[in-house]
Amino acid sequence: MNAVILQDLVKRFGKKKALDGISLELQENRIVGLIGRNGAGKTTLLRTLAGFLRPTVGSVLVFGQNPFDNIRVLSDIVLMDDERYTDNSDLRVLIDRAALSWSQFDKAMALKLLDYFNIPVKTKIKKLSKGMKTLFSLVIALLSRCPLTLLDEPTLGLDAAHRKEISSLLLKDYVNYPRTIIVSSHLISELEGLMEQVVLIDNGRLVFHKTIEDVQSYALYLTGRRSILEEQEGRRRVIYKESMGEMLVLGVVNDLSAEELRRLESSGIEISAMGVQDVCVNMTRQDEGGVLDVVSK
Amino acid sequence: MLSQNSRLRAMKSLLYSYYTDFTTFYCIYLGIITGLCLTKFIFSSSASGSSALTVGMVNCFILLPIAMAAITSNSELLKKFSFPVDRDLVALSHIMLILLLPLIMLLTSCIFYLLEILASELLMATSDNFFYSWLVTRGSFLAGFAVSYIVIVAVTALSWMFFAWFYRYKVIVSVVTGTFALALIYFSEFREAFLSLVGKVFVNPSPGLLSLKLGTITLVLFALGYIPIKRMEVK
Repeated sequence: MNAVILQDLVKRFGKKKALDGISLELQENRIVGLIGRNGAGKTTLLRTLAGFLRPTVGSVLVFGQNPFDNIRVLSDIVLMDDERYTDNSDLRVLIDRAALSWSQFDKAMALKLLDYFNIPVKTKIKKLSKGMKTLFSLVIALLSRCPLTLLDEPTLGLDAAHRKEISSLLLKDYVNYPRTIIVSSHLISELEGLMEQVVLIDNGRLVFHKTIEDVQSYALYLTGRRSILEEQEGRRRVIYKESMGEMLVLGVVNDLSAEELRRLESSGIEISAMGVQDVCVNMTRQDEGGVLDVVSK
Repeated sequence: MLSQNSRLRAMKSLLYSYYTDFTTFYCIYLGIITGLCLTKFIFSSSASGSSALTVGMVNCFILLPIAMAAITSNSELLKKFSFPVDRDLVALSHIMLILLLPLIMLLTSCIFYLLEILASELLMATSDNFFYSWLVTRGSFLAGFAVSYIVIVAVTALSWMFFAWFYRYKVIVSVVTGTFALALIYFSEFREAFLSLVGKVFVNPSPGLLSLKLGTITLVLFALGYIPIKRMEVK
């Protein structure tokens, strides 16, 4: 069964199109990475899935139903982002509310984890640091064990040690309680080990939806003499290009046959896989060049 | 069945949240009413039999619209939507608050009124220099309580309806309200027509008829306030 079905989803804020015709199907019980640059529409997409926003055009189905103002579906969705829990309330009150809201919420485990992370439950949420607030929101979101868990930048403000621990916690909890988890993050390399699928969006449009294995083998870097690679440039879909004197680095979509790869290697071209992060960055690169081009003008 | 269960859980959670929010609000009210009643006793050599009731009612008129402005704001609603809840439940819980808060606040002022009578009786028995005017009878108290409650509920419902629209459609509501206010100030014909309309509803009816009229107006205000809440997006 599909956990999420989007059909030609458009969301406008005034004249700005935050989402522009996204069609997508996400199967149940998968960890999906939602990747995109700042302003790509990730948060809008997550908020639409969480029933906060109404689509301008198109449809959103979560477990077969429209989530907007539908308590039956909303009870199965949790959204974690940096705007949750901005109350002046004690953490204990919020934990009690979570226990009242979700029958499957593991309150004892939540208290244990907060104790482990040195977050006192008698503190007001406003007094927590950014990292602690993120940890608290994550604990609530994960332990709600909602069939659709939406995590928007779940590592915001966390140090490296906490990021590692959160990855382990997320994976462990997912194995014990399988569900659909959509994670939006800029730290792609750190979440690469968790993601089973990648949804890449740019300027509100879907760039691709692929399994992590497909993304890992999606593109290649070809490094070598300009004269050889310029010939390739016309024949391949180039997503990255950088000149270094007589040398050229090309990032190309990997549709090369084994024979073609062998021929390139034999002519002195160095071939390496493009990582998931680089694929996502290069696929959403702005046409007008990088920030250094702006500075050098 | 599942849907009903989800709704019930969401409602319990939401009411719990409002309970914790309004504990602080109630403490503020209690502080103000205590302070004002004590001040009156300390600085005045006389007291009327209704000063606690007046203080309580005036406080209701000030604090409840402020509370309505807070609970209908986008930031407050965003907090409520951190947990599963739908717009019907939000509107229902707001209506419950509009009906319950004035009752609790008025009952509190009645307790203060009893304390005031007791303190006044004690003072009159012990001091020759204290004057206390007994204005409230049992009949006038009950009628006054009922009408006061209904008036406060109607004013609170009006402010709830206003702010529910205001936060969703700031420009339109500001323009309409501003135009209305300016018309009241600068156009005497409009002002007189408006005041005569208000007069027809509120001047000299019996307490029962007044309550009936205000009750009807409150229901209309609930319906009007429900529209923007039902349509709103959580931003």
